[in-house]
Amino acid sequence: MVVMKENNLLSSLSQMGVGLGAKNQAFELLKGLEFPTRKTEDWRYTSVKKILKKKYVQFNEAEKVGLSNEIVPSLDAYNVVLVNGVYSKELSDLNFPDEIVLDTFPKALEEHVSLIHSTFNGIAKNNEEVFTALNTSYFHEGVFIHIPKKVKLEKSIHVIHVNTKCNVVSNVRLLIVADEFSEVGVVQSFASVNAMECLTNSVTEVFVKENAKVVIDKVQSEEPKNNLICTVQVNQKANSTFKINTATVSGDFVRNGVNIEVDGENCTSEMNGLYMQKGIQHVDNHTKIGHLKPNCTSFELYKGVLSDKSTGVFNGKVIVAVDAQKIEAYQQNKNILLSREATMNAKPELEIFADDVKCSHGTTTGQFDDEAIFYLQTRGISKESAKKLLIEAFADEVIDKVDSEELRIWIKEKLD
Amino acid sequence: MAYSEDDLKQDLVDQEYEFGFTTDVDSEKIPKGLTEETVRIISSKKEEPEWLLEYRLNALRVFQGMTEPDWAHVTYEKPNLQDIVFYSAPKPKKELASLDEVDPEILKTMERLGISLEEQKKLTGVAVDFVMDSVSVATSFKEKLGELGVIFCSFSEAVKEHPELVKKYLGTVVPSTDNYYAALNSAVFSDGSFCYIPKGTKCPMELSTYFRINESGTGQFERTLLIADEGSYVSYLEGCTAPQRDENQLHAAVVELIALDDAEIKYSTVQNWYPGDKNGLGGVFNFVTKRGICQRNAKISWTQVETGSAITWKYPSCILKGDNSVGEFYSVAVTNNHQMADTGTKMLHIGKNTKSTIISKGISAGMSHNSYRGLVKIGKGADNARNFSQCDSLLMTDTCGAHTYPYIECENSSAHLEHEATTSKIGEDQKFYCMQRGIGEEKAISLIVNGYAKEVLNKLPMEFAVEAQKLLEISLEGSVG
Amino acid sequence: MLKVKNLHASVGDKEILKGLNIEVKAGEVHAVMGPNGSGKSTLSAVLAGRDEYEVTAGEVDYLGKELLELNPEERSWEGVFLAFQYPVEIPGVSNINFLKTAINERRKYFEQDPIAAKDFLKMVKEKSALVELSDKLKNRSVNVGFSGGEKKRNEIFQMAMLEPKLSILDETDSGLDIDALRIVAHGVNTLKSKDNATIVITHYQRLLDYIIPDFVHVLYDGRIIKTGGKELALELEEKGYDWLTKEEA
Repeated sequence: MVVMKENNLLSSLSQMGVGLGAKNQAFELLKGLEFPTRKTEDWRYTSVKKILKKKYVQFNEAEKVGLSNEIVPSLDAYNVVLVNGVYSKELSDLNFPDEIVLDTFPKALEEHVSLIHSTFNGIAKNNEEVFTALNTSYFHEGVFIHIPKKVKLEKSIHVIHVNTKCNVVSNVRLLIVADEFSEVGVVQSFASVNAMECLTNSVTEVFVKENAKVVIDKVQSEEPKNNLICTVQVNQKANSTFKINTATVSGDFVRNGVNIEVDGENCTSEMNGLYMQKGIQHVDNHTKIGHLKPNCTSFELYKGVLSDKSTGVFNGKVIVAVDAQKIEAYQQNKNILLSREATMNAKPELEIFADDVKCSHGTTTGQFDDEAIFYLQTRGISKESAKKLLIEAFADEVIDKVDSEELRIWIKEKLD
Repeated sequence: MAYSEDDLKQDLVDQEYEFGFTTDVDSEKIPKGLTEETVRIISSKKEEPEWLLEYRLNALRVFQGMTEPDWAHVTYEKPNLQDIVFYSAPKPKKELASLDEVDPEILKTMERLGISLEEQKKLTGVAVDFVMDSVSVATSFKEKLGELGVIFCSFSEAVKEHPELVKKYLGTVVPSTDNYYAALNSAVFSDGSFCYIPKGTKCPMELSTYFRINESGTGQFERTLLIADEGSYVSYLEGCTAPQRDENQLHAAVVELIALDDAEIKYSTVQNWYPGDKNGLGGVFNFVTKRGICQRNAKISWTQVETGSAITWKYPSCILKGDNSVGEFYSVAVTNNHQMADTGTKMLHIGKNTKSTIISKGISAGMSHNSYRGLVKIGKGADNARNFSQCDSLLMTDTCGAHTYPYIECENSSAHLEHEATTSKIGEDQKFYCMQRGIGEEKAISLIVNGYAKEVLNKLPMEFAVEAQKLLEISLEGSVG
Repeated sequence: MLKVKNLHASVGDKEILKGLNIEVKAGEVHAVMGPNGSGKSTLSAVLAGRDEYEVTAGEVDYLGKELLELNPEERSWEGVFLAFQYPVEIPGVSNINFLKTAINERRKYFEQDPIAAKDFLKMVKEKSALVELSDKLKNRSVNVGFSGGEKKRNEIFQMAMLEPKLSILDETDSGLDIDALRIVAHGVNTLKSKDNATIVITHYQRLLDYIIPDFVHVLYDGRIIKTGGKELALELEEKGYDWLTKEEA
């Protein structure tokens, strides 16, 4: 058996807080895993060497800080703020509707033990994803959201992750359970204030029960020197709708995993992403949708604009299982390279085991159409403005997938 | 009664006696298994020069340090290399100067394969280099080609007569360290074809090789080396057929193409090795490494129609090294019953203004699995590179699978890449429309499938296209539930 | 030629034809009219043998044969032709190759040798002139990149080539401009003889100005609720279907 090699990341972590059997199991499992190398197919284009080498500090108490509007925007939402990976009571909203459960992890466990036991870690891929196993083993903070049957939450829940110190490591966990006929929108944002060399490893499990609808909007605007690994694991039951939008504005190293199991008929699933990296930043979007049951539809649109020496990776996998007939799955990935030194690696994959399906994927990589820029110039728009205009138009296609207007505006502000 | 494989075998055996051959089988078939000794025997039997033996031994050392890859979407029992005979040759009595001297029984076999030399010679002017179990037995049109300076001969002959060319180019496109099967081939290749087109020469006829695995339990490891010198053009056809065998046969070939400045190579393959029976028993394992390099303004175009083999693992590729060079890949792969194919291409853009086109059409039926796996890489210096890829999959049954794994790597912002893929079922409306016009279901399917594959079939030389079309039809027979 | 008796047909759980009767004799032109959803297209699909439609009761006698027992290609060989409302595109298969295959498959059924290339080409030339179909279209893939009008003309061209006994034109006038309509109608009228029959299925009376029917049937809720001469079509044009359907209700 492989025994995991020690590295600086591992030695920075300590197990504490939440007492759950699953943690210990994952910890045992973790010992037999290895961190990925370039030879690991799923990490072919993304090296984790750099983030394993760094020394980190794990925080156990919430820093008392005031945060600007930029970090905690006045969206129409219930805010839950985690500072350096620790829940901040001062900064979070405490008044939310009685019918829902919105709690931090250690506390949630005391009050909702049976529900947590029947869901938590139920779909996380600890044995396949070493960073998920790491999260399960070491997470010390997290948020539990439970929307009971038929409850439709008008306001969204905004989980804000903010780092205010350098070298912070945090393993944070979200568990979202949306019962039958319920609806909820969750915004998850990642930011930092004067912090560098941090690593946030977030794992979210989402259970979308029959006829429920869950929408997640992720906004990633870490300061350039920070690292972020975000894994979202989703299970959809019949007639449900799930949508996730991911906007990556910056971050030295960003890896997003979205993994949806569509385990019921007549479901709709949607994944959209926008990434706009600069400098030597690296962004990797890995998505996987497994259609296990017939009569479902999935849409996917990821778009990227890469400047300077940045690198982008897109790997989208669509799997249609045996007998999952009448599936329609569409996937698009479009990239624009603004600099000679930017790199894009795309790997869209289809694995189809049923015959009555309509599946397609397309990917393009290129630069701006000179013709279009010239056209705008002849209409009196400077070359710079023309480029900006075209980038905005390119990005808008994804931003428009975000339902809330104030959120769209907030994302656009961050892009500027 | 139809002439069967057994009859042929019997004929060949009888013949040996007739011509007074000894029954010493060892002299034509070396013992099973792979050791340094095997390699030395092959090399010495072929009276090879020292450098080639060294080349083989080096490859063997590399090979012995490698493990069989398992990333492809195929599952099979790995062949036991110690159970394979690495060299076998139907012992020719003497050197053959012309077709007339070819063993009439062998000609008969060729006829059954539908590749009568006589006919093809008359009708199409194709020069055929026929390889039967590793050793080339007949080459036609040699003289005519000779006048133009075109060299088209068996690989072993080339080693003897044009060692400088072989030495200069062998392993330059597919190094023996490239992959498991290429290393294996480099160590034990028995024969193959060699072709050289001199500067500025347009080869006036299509060059063609038919390969055939005949002897049971024989692995076939042929090696093809094709050099198109500056400004030359050649169209090369390769056809493969294998008779029915119960055990799996291993086929690990290496093909290297070199297109020097302004040269163009068109390489077409129709592969119809034995796919195994309805229950997935038997069939050829086809693990092939095919790659070409393009210098300035050169063009390499791969066209393949793959209907055979139990397992296919094949990625004809182009290294677009020279500026303005062009790579093309057109493929139709049909899998039925228990066949598994993992095929595609690699287009490596290195030079400026390089262009590549990939059109891949997969058709899966029965319980088969058909995967497209491709890489398009635009290097840092490949300014204004262009690629267009289209990978379509057609599904005939609900028990088969179609998979698409394209890798797109772009390191240059002036590049433009487009990739499209679709997977869909054969259209019920199309089928009904044909049937309403009086075209029965099987025929309707063959018509629709041929239409679907047309873009690729059109790239084949005429006589090959007809054969390929028939093959598609035959391969899909009984595929409708 | 064709006797449809008490035909019931459904798609899935939904019954669409609910006891339809119609009789067509050689040399006749019948128009079947009716509002949307009355079952017009189902009738043509059932007669041509589409397997999504399940016949639950009734019988169809065609030239002494039980039509419903035959599979689609056998019906075609026996002379049933359906001009599709939405002609299907078949990429990569040329129109010419498609027709040649169709003709030879039928000849095989009647134990005849394949048609000689010369005769075939002559026939193509002659018949395509009938609907003014250009050479360019004949060599293109079946219906791929054809305009709506070209597709419909191509249907009539195929009809001319296959020389059917019973032609069913399913909404052939939909999407046609007046010129194309005239060309299509001219084709149909030229092909008319005392030995063959035509069923024109249409929503509008427009086509019937050019193809004059001997009988007009009104199909409503899966049944023929009224049969008359060509003047019935004009009456329908004027009054719509309501006066009939109200009567029915």
